[in-house]
Amino acid sequence: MTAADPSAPSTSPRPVDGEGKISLTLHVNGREEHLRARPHHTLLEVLRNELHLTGAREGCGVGMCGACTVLLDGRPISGCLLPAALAEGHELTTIEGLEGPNGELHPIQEAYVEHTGFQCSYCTPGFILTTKALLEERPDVSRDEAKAYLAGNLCRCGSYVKILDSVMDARDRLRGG
Amino acid sequence: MAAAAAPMRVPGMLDANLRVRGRVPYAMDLNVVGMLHAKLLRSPYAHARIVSVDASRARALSGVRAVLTGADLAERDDIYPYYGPIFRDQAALAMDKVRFAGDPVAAVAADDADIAQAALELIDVEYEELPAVFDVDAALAAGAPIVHDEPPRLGQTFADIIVRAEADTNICNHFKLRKGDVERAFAEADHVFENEFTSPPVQHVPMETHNCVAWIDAGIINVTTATQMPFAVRASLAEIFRVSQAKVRITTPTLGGGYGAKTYTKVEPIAALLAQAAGRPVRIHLTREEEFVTITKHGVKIRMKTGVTNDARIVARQSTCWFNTGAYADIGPRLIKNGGYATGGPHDIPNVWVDSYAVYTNLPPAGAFRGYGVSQAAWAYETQMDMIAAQLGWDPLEFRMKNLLEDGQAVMTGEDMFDAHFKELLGSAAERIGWDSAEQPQRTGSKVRAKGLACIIKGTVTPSTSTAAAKLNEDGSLQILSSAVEMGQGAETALSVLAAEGLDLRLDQVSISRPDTDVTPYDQGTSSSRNTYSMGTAVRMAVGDIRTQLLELAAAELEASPDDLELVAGRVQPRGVPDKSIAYGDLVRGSRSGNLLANGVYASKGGLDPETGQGIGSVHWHQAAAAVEVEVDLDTGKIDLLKYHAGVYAGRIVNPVQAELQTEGNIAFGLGQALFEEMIFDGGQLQNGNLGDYMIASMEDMPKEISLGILEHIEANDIHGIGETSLPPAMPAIGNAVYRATGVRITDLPITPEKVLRGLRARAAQESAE
Amino acid sequence: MPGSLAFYHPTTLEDAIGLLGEHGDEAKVVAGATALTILMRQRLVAPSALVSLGSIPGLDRIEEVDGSLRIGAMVRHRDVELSQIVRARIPVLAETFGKVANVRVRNAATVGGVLAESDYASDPPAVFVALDAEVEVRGPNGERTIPARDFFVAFYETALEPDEIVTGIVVPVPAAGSGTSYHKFVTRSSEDRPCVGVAALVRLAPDGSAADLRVAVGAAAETPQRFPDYEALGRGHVLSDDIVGRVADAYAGAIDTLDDMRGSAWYRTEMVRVWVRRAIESARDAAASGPAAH
Repeated sequence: MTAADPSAPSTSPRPVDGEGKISLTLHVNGREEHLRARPHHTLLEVLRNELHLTGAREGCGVGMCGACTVLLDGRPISGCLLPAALAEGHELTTIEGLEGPNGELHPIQEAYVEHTGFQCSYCTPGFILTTKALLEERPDVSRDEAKAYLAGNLCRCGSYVKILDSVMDARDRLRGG
Repeated sequence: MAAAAAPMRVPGMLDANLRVRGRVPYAMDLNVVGMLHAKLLRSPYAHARIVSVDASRARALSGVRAVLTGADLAERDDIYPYYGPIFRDQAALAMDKVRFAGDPVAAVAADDADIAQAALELIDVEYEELPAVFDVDAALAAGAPIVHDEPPRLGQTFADIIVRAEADTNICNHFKLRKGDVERAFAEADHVFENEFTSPPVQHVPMETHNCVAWIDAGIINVTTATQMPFAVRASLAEIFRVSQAKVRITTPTLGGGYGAKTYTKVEPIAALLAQAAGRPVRIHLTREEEFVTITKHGVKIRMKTGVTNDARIVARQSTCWFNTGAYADIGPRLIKNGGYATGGPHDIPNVWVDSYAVYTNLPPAGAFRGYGVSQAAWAYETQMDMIAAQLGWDPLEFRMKNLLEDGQAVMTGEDMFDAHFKELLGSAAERIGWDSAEQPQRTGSKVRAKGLACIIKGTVTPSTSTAAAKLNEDGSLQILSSAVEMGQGAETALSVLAAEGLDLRLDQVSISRPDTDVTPYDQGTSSSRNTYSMGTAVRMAVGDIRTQLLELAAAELEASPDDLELVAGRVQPRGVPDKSIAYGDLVRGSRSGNLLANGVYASKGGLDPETGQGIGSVHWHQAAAAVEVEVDLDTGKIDLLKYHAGVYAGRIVNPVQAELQTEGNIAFGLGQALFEEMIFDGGQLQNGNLGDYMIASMEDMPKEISLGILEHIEANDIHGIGETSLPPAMPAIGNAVYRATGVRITDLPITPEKVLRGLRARAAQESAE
Repeated sequence: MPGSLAFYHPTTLEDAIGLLGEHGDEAKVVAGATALTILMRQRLVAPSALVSLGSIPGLDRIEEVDGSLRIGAMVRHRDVELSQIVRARIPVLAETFGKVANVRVRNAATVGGVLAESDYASDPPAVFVALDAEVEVRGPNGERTIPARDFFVAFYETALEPDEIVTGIVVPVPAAGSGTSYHKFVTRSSEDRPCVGVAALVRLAPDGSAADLRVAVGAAAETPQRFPDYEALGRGHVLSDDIVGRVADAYAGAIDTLDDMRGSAWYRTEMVRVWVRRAIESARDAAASGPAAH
């Protein structure tokens, strides 16, 4: 990962303002975003509080549940575990970045709608982003493989059967299209 | 509908498109201009007197806008800072003493959460630690420390609640059920079994933790909060601020899960008090760690004595239940009733005696939890059923079939059972799992497989009240005003379906409001699997009234009798004469009323006698069965779930997809509680209050094969809530299968690999000694 | 006050080491940040300086050097899991890293991080110990290597000096005829950490006896447990049920097992017995059937 300002001396800390905040530049959903946050703020906090992207949600704060999943260079990570400063220089994708330019649903989102792969849907953005990473990595994934890959995303409503139905349908939609 | 077109295609969720975009707003997504962020300082001690609180350094911190301590609240006579649905035993901030580790003692509102957190560290609290009690035995022992030494503060509560608190003890409430003559029946029984069963406290773990935003605007206390019960919160805040309920406005967006955790008042009082103190809007949003100590499922000990005859009839049951209700009563005093009578089970037992106690301890408060006491009861009776069958050499299926309730037989609370489907549910569950009483456990290497069954009965809160309003607009669209809370169960979809079909409208012509106590009519709460039935009835009544108004308006217009008219696709017409039809909108405009208005009020009847627990326990009885096949590793005690069948009675299925989702969700919930969920305390300190240390079921934990039998019986013309019903049989069915596989009988949940292995070793030791 | 946290992005190891020297105990090294963020959230640590290794080039490589794989400190768990060269040369390493936590954590957590954290309930340490890996560290006085078995000292404690940084780990590729295994045993959800995790390596001689046997047990005690004396019970012998059982019993008897919510000390001892046996059997069977380097 790269520091924000490559010209700054390697042994100087990032400058902080009167509120104890540092300047950050993040690439989120194809846009460059400039913002200020405290050095300990996580990517999740910054997405929600500074960029008002509320699809990533805190569920546990310890990387267990996946409700705050964000794609970093296409790979799922827990937004709650990553200091925002370490997200600089990477392409970040949140659930808000999945829609088409006119708000069209992504085929994975369509599959989740079709099968109602959720109940309260608090965890849904995390599941959908993880599904996206999975299907890009393994376009022909089997149901059992999908289950193992997605097991780290928790759904307390227990919608797991229909989530897996959604994932398999999404696989077929993406393969077919 | 006489000429209804093809049956409506019911989507799983009306707002599915928003949900998959991550754009459904939860309470925590609301931003109010000028909003502050609150943090709570919590007691590190389970039981301690508060000697002093010095918040001066916190108040001086830049960016801090309000700090409150218990003393600040105690000295005010313009507020009554206590809450609780039955006893007002919980203060917005602890005053004289703290009663559990995690009890809030001070609160800070600051410009941002970091500052609020930093301010907490500047508050100095001096405590004098007191002896504490953590389990029901210690709490009931002579000379035990008393958790609440002040006289109980009672207030307005619900019609069905019987309060029998005992002074100078930790007994918070006692429910009694007396049916028949148990003593005589035990004397006459051929066999009497007495066993003890325990269930640990577990947490709901809604993915969205408790949170709200409170602000005071023109004298109105506004709170947007993640609650299952907006009206209970309103009543609470009105009482706390000593204002009329009309001066409190509660709005509730969709919830990120509830499962009972979000019933009644929780974080709203302190948020509103801080908003008042700061003169600014205040958000409070609990961390996962705080959520764990906010509300729990009751840990329970049940002693159950059951008498049977040689021909496998159950003739008597006596249960004593000790529900550990923690430091504050919450809804525990009612829950012990439902959990207590539930020990009677879905069986035709002529003699039943129940003593069920809510017991105060110095643990976090316990309250409503999916299953509402019935899971703990079912764990006891459905486990004991198999223990009896094993002891007497009976087939557990046949033994149950001989005793399951049929129509016309008296349930434990005395009323006659009707619309009984227990035998059908259990029979098909047994068939689906391939039950064969002669089947021996299947052994492969160190693994052994076997099957287990369970069947349960559950009531829904009775009596209870739901109301709804309907507005038919001048374009023919229908608005339903309801305080039903959408928490993922599809409340809005179900109510929309019921409303739309009442006027033969399409779903897109109907809208459902979200709860707003200034606008939407009263509802007791979204809990107890009551919404689709109870609020659904209120909605149907309101829509039925609109229908009558439409028929009358059209009758005048068409010079016909209302009886000769019908509603078809948004128009009223003489039966079979579409040419003469009139659009609803034209009728509304013709009426010059702007819109047609109607109310629906559904108040169910019933209740139990305080001395005998007899009367009407439930307006109708929820019914479910489960069958499971497990595989146990005899070297490790580890249990895998191979097959699971869930059977549940639905009356009418309003939304098939949601019915399946709720039932599958109960399997996930149930297997977690069966196999590993448990809040572990040491000296009142929670040891595993985060999701790294407390496990909930993952996708990989689900049974390898799942089948559902959601039983519909349209002729009954009834809707049974199914949000909880299929949960309670999960734990005993799994336990019974483990016993059949290994010979190890676990009576204390969860059924961990270690307990199974210890049981296997004990059996081996016993066999080698014999 | 919030915000009193200095965030450094040094671009050379020397600078990073200098910063650690300058800030002492107040500084924390940040790699994937998965563990550190949790510790900070729980206020178990409150550093005043964070030193990120993310801007230092060259720490994220996996390369084969003299019959060993050298894995850089900034290599992510998931990169080990998916690495073609790791899968080909030391498949058990790829499998083990694939069993850690969930895919999100594996995408962020680094090899250097899991070493430096020395969390008793993680999976890779036992495998590194079984494979005789050596940890490369750099400090103000230059580089040194520490055998993995000496690196983990106690709960969250390593042989690392406060101003030293893990730069990588060198894992010897098992000799031809070897089979390896790692068994992660969980007692609660699939998403739980191990109650015990056992790594084994068996190399078979042409006569079918065990030319080499190595067993390391993780998550059962403060640090990974390996007992050459008890491995010797199997070396030179055909790994019969009896011999394997003796090794398993010896391990079960030797480890002072700990007690946590995933199992009591008694239960862990029993699980050490079961999983040492199963791990040796798996490694033995892999050696018997597998390709030369498997």
